Amino acid sequence: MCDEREPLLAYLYAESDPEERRRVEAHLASCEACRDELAGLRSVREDLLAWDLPDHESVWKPFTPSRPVWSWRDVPAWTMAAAAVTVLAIGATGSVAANALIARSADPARPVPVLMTAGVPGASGAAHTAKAAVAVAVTPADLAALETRVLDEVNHRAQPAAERTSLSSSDYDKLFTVMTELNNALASSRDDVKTLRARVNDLSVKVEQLAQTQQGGR
Amino acid sequence: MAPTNRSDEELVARATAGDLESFNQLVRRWERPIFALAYRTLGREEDARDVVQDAFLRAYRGLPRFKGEAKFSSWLYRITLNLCRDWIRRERRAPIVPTPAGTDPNSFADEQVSPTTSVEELVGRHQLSEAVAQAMAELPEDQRTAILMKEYHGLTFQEIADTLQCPLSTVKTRLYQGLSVLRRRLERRQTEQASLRRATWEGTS
Repeated sequence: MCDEREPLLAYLYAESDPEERRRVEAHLASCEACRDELAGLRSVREDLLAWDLPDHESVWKPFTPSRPVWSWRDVPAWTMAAAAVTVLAIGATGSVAANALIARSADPARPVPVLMTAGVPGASGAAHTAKAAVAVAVTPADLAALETRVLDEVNHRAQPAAERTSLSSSDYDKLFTVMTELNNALASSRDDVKTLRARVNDLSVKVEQLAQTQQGGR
Repeated sequence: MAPTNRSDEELVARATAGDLESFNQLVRRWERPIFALAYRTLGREEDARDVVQDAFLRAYRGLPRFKGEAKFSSWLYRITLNLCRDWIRRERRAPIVPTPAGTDPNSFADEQVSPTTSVEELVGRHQLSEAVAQAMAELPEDQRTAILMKEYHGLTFQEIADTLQCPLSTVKTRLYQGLSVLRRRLERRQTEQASLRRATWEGTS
């Protein structure tokens, strides 16, 4: 075949400039191989149109409008860390990422992103908590309990802002308790991981929305 | 100006300044394409939905760092593709082709066919959809991504290069190679099904 791949491709997708287009058309008129090639590519493009998508309903729970920008600082640090660890545990993404998130949660300048599940290399600290992130599944009841706890905490906890921005030792105790409970629960069930992941995502979004509400309510 | 007419750039600027509703609008505008990209990359609905949610949360948090050098959509596509790549690595496997009950290509053998039934009639759109999904899932990631961006998102070569942060010529090569592989696979499938059809007919007559 002629060396016309790039020009043919540009022609196929109507991205040739006019001069190039005229040249390709003149070439096609005299080259059967390239005509066949172009016809083959067009037929593939037609086949590709058949690839259906499943119905998709929005998964986005809209941010509440007319609120000032909220900050992670308004969410008690231990609840964010707990949510992060839950997501990580269920995603079984490993201990490095869990360490990173926990380490970052202790830094007031770097609020914890709950849904960020990508590992951050090189982080240190709180190594003994990583064990909690190893298991794979928890029961819906465990999550419901955690959810209630987190929501209660976000809704009712009245603390000076300064205390919310970092993990105090009692926060750590609470976090470890939650993680231990989770860890025990994780060992007991491996079912419905997807359902549970969805619930954790839900929970994370709720925490965010509560954070907004809290900020807006002041 | 009606809010729905605002450009992505305007909405990004407003969202960055703290207008959450502007960000909601960006989500409404882009959620479906982002779901389509994630679904066609991963092959699994639920994981695609997770990726959609993660992608918009990341985009929201990344707004202060988004300098507007690229288009918002290119940036969003890149975030999505990175999340998909993370997912694939985490799962340590290739994208999964969904095969709902009754769409097994082998079920052709069970269908009542006559010698006058054309391949085109036999190969329903749904089955072609499955075949395309299968062939795409088997492509190398680079080629698959280039084809997704071009065929299902209508990006120009240059926009794909910007999104994937690679040279224009690389984009064209990946596209061409990917299309050529798809062509061979889809043509081979049609040939196989034509002979399967013949065999079925001969076996039942």
